[in-house]
Amino acid sequence: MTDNITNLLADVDAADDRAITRFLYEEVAVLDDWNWGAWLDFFDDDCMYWAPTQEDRVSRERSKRISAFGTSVYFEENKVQLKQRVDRLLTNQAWGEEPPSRARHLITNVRVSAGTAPDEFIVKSNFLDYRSMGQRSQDYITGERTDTIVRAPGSEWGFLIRERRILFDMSTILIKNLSLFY
Amino acid sequence: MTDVTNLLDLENGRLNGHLFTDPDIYEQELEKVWKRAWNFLAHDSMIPNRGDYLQTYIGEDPILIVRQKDGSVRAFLNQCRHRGMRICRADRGTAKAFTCTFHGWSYALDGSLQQVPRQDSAYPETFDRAEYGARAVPRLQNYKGFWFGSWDETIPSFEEYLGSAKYYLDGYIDRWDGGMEAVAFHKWVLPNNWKYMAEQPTSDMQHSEITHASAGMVLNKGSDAADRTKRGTNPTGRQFFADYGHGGAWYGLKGEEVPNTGQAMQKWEARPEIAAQIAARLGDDREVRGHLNIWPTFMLLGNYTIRVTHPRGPGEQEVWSWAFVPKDADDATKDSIRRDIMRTFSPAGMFEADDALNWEEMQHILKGRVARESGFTYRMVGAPIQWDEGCYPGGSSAHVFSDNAAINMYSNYLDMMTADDWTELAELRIQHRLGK
Repeated sequence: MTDNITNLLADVDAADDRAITRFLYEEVAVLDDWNWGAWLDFFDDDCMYWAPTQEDRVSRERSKRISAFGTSVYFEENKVQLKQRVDRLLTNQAWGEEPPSRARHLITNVRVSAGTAPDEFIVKSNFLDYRSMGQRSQDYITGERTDTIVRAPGSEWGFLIRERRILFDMSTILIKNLSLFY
Repeated sequence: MTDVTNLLDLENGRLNGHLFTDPDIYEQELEKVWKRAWNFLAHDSMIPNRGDYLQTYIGEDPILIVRQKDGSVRAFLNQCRHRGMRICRADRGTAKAFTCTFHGWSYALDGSLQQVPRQDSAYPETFDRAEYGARAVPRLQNYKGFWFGSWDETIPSFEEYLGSAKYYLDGYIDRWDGGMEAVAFHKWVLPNNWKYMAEQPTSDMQHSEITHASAGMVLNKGSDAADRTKRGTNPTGRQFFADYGHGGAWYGLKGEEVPNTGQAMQKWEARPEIAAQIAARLGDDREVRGHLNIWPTFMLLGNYTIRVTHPRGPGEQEVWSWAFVPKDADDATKDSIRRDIMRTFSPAGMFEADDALNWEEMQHILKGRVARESGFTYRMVGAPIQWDEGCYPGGSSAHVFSDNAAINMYSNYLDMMTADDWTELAELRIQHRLGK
């Protein structure tokens, strides 16, 4: 019998694991540098970027705790819709982010596993996103991302995000808005 | 006790900043506004089956609203009568009873106390469970599918409370034979006084062209949202207000209105069979859908964001916001409406994000002593007030941009804060009708 860790590591080539982890770090570096237009290059043209809500349920109803796709969500964006959000920031009149907040995306606990198709990977990661805004405003939010990432030779970064599901840990969002990308 | 009377100069359109920061005024608001108003609690579609419940609030008081075995609805304070623990800690669900997780007092769906552990051996025979039911919300009324509650037993009926606002509210919620349903829900906290947000759908359409300029630029074409360029560069429209502080506005003159509904809703309502339903139910080509607030904070936007904000101290509020759709609409229409609301007016909404910034800054600046005394200005009153003009009941003015409804909202606020009871309040409101 092989142990779980040996199995997990055997699932994905070590070089791919390292490349995808670096890909995720580069993605948030682009965001933290306010380079939102370039951030879209990390996403497949046929992508879905979405975030369910959470609520408290009694134990026998706990399977309903996280909202389903197509119901209560914070984001449900294809590439065109993601670009609208980026274009809004680029108007320089999106006052909630103008002047832009100083944000720092911390990405940790990256777990790369093989997807269902060749050259497809399921990648889980945790995040802590800190935001400082104006003179005194600051907040942070945490959660988990589940990405479907595909190898994409010839693309800007060699990989593309086909799906990102963002699970925020807050059920009532305790920060004033979700004006960043996660 | 802080006297609010001198903090509002409605004639000259001035509000003192203390109204938005003073903890003592906030305590008075909990007593005199929140306990005495009709507050939105739930929609029928949120608790369709027996045993279905939802945790909500009236002001800061937690409320449990529950569908009973016979199909009726009850609401009660979500506080155990024993040591004050929250009886039900789930946000919503379906239950047969509610058992407090502190000492195990157990309540039936109607809030009556069913069981007390160790009653037989440890309590005296004189202990009567009937005396310790959860505190019932004494006034509960369903208006066209929407449940409202009040702690004030003497409050007039919800219809009377609406007054002339009934015409406008019906223009949003009484259009389609199949009624409405809530399909999505968001809640979030904002670091500002609750009255800033109440004021906006009551009276402030004009901020949109500046605050929300960026969202308009990217969403007018190629999205689910309304195309706001159709309002024109010098928008026309109308604003109304009602005796008990309600208000709202919409774009365009009679017969040429530019509703705030999304693209899919506009197409669906143009179908002959749906247009016929609307005509039959409303009867007068009614199109009043821009924004609307039923005091204190039951807010509706033309895209069918329907929400309340719960106060959380003078400097914080909690927004509970639902996406509503016509129940009979096709799935694609419903989905488009839901998506539009999520992308415009939710925590990640492209309109909402910019409102939050304004209110946070306003609240923070009021820490300044001079800033607080300096306060806010309401002088956009160029459009004269008309009463019962044409088809429009109550007070209204022929401009979509006006502070009239805000001044009326604060006039009602002042009367609520000073009146001893609903009899006095009703008299004051007739005396204080703006422009009459």
